[in-house]
Amino acid sequence: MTQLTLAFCCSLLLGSCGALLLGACGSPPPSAAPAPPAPPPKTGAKTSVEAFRAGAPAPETPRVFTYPTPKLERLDNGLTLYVVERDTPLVVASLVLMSGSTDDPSGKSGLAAMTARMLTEGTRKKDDRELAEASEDLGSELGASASHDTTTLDFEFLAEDLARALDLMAEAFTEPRLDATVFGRVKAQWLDQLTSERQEPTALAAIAGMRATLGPAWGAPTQGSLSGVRALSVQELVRFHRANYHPERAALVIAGGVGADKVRAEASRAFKAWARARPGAVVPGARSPSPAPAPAEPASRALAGKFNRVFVVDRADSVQSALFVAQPFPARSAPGYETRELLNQVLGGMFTSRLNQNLREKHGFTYGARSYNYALGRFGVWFLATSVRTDSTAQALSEILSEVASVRRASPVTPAELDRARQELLGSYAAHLEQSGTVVEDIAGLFTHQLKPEYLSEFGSLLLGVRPEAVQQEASTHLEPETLVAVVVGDKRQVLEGLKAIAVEVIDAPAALLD
Amino acid sequence: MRFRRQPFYLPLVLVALATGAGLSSAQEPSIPSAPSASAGSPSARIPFTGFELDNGLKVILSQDRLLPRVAVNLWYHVGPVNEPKGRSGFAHLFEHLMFEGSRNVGRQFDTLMEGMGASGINGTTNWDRTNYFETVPSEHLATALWIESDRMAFMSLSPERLEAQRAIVKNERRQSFENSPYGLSDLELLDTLFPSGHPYHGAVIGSMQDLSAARMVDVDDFYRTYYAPNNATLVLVGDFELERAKALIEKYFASIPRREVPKTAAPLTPPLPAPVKRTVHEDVELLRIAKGWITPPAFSAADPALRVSAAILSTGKASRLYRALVVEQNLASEVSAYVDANRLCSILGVDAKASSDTNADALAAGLTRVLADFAKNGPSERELARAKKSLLVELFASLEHLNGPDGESGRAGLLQRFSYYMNDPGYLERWVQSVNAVTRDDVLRAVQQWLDERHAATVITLPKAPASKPNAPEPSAPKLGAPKPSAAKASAPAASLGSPPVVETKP
Repeated sequence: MTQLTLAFCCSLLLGSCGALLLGACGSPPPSAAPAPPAPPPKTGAKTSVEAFRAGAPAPETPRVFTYPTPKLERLDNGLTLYVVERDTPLVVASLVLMSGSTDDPSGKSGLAAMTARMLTEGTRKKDDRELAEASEDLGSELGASASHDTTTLDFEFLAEDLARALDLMAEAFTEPRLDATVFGRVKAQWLDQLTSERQEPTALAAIAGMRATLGPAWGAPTQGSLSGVRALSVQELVRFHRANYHPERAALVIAGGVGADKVRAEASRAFKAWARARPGAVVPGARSPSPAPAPAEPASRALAGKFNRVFVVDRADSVQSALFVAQPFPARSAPGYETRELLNQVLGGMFTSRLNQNLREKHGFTYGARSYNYALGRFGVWFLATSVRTDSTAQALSEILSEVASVRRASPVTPAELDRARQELLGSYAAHLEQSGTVVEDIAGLFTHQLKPEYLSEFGSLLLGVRPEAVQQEASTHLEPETLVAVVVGDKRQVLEGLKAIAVEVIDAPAALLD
Repeated sequence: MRFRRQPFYLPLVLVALATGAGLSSAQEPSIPSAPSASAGSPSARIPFTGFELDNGLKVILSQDRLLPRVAVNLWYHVGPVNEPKGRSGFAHLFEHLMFEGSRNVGRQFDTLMEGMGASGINGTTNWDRTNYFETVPSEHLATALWIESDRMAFMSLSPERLEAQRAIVKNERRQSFENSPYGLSDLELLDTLFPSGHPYHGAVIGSMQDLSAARMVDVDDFYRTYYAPNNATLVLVGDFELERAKALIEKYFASIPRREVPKTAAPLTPPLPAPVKRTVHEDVELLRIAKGWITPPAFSAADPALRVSAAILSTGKASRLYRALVVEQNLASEVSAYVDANRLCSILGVDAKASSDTNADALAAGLTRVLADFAKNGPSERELARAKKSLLVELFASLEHLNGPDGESGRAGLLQRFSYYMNDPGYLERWVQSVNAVTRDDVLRAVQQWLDERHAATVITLPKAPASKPNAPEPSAPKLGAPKPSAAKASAPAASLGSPPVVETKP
């Protein structure tokens, strides 16, 4: 077993292996363009004659530091362990299972999510109340959830409570009670929450949009469809848990005020009874990405400047339309991920992105617009989400289409945009190191996508190495304006005519998209 | 109640039901709190140095060289409490305008900030204050100070950009309230607690009418009156050399002249004289009951016990409201209790969203039973200890941040809060002690005194088309306020299977 303690490395030695140079190369901040005509100063400060105010000061020498590289080890039963020791009294722990909603069998949407949800509703030894009390006595709620790729059990506690906390996590994860009566209550509550969520226009647009883009299986919501959850039985959860919850396909990720030796000892003890699957029963490891799913209907080539298909969900009298615009995009493991991250930053991933500047700052259609390179184990999707004033719905969609089309060819990413995107992404990435919780998420991502441990420290250099031509290549290869699907949740009566002018087909969203 | 310049974005679809329990336990995130009595527990402390420039700018520096980054956090002691009549929402609109440019920086705020690798760039407005914050790579500290000082001294604005921001802020209001499930009900609750004439009236975001009324001359007046160095506090937390940081602050801020700033009246707000009950019809499927009480100001004597009370009521699956209403009686699908602490008063709020086959009377009765039992018997020792520990864990999580998400949590935000509300940036330790010292009797007394039905505001949200809900009869409460369509609430179950741009709207 390998020592896993990680520390921040504040070396000033340039060129040290894997160093992430933040604010790299001492590059000055982008120079301030000449100020627009300004009204006369209002404070009459003598400061108006201070020459040093005229321009941005030169940056000082940047400090180099590295994102900690976790060394991973496996416990005897195959459970993977990652530990990052940090100077804090808290510990954040996440138990990550390589099995999520994309593993839901056909017709069983919600199986992974409900199984996760039931982990915190009692164990063989404790009923739901006893488990809640025992965990919350340590200061936080034991939470479990399924995402597309994984199921996670999360806990946050004081370092002094490590042993008790790991016992509770092991108990909840490996010996859930899965009681039929409790399941009935939890399922009804879950359905209420799914119903509530569908009252929220932005959430509803996303639910419909993911299905319209990816089809009914992969496009299904991670929390399950209403019909899928209704049909689930507790026996199915029991079978799912037995088949999927094995240590070989799980990792315990811990960041906080505890050392690796202590964690290893406590984790070995707490998870000792968790048995490996029968030989041949489980195939751990990364999933191979699949090709993009075929669209539900064969798409005709879009007319220039128009969407092929716009789905409308009517919400009478809405003062805004929630928009979700998406297309299939490469999976996480496809080469060029970092380049696509930068492409997305420029297009819609940061405040000064083209889409936010257009829709918010230039046109005042929205309070904010943001897009994502949402890259998963088996597939990916690029999407933009925003809410716009009802009377600007069609025009906003038209602007979105035009920004996506123009970054491919007419208006390529500029070096200045690329630099800004890089710095913004590096800055946000560095900010992950403030909190144990975000460090745990980053490491969980390593496990989910079977990336080498050095990836976290190399991510910065990878971003710095991306050339503008590569971004352009990704844009022209993977952005396909003619495949963009749009969902509008808004007042149909007010938006329909406008939509007809910007789409080949305007379709009432079928109930299956909203399930 | 906070509004911010940029929405928070949740990485859609990524975020699963965080707890699964669907508790939207909304203990005010900004609030620090709590400690565990157990011997040997780690202590909460933020080391700092404080001083004041000759022009009255207060400065607080807290060094932490672990990461090569510095949180810059500037509070102006002005907010909606200072808005002129007929200009509700103006303080927040003004906050947006502060990003529009200044004489030397020009309209480059965002390109400069993002281009230098800043994170958490935002501004927020709360009733009593307006803040501006970002976390920058340490080599760019001077640039951040140059930008902040330039907008303090030389803000500039064109009429076109006032129009643009007015449109954006109106969109923010739509997204946060009018197009958000239960948003109009949240407004109704605030209007009930802070009726016309109260300094907090207008829910920070203001009315559409008042937002439309704002003029360039209002901008000029507000800026000239309140954006003075002697009405602000600058906090830096992170990687800097102390003397160098002092020199930079002196260089960029010291020559900005002090100005006379009118005193903000601070009349303490008493509880409502009588209970008020309102009903709002919204485009939702599940009815909701939201209650609110006026409680004493932030960090006052009753505050620790009230925060502990809120935690006992709704933090976690073992909490009172969750156990009783969600688990045992099946009346609610979600519950929450929170304290929103401010200068003139705080709000203690309790919400319960019904389960699908519950009517308003049954839910109201269930809620009343839980609160009455709490007021009669108080908490057990174990509940008390659990609540304190959850507050402690929450505090330590907040302390990991240099700047918290709203610029009022994290180390920089906490230093600001304690400096502003208690005139002592180092108050955190005493605050933790005072939460730690809360007894069962303290909780009992606080609940009896402050969560009294005779002073409660209650807003019931009913689905717009009650006919489709066979067992949701109209309660007898007077119908009020034009129901509007809407949807979505950020604090919806944690159920964020996907909620892209989300503006939190905590009442």
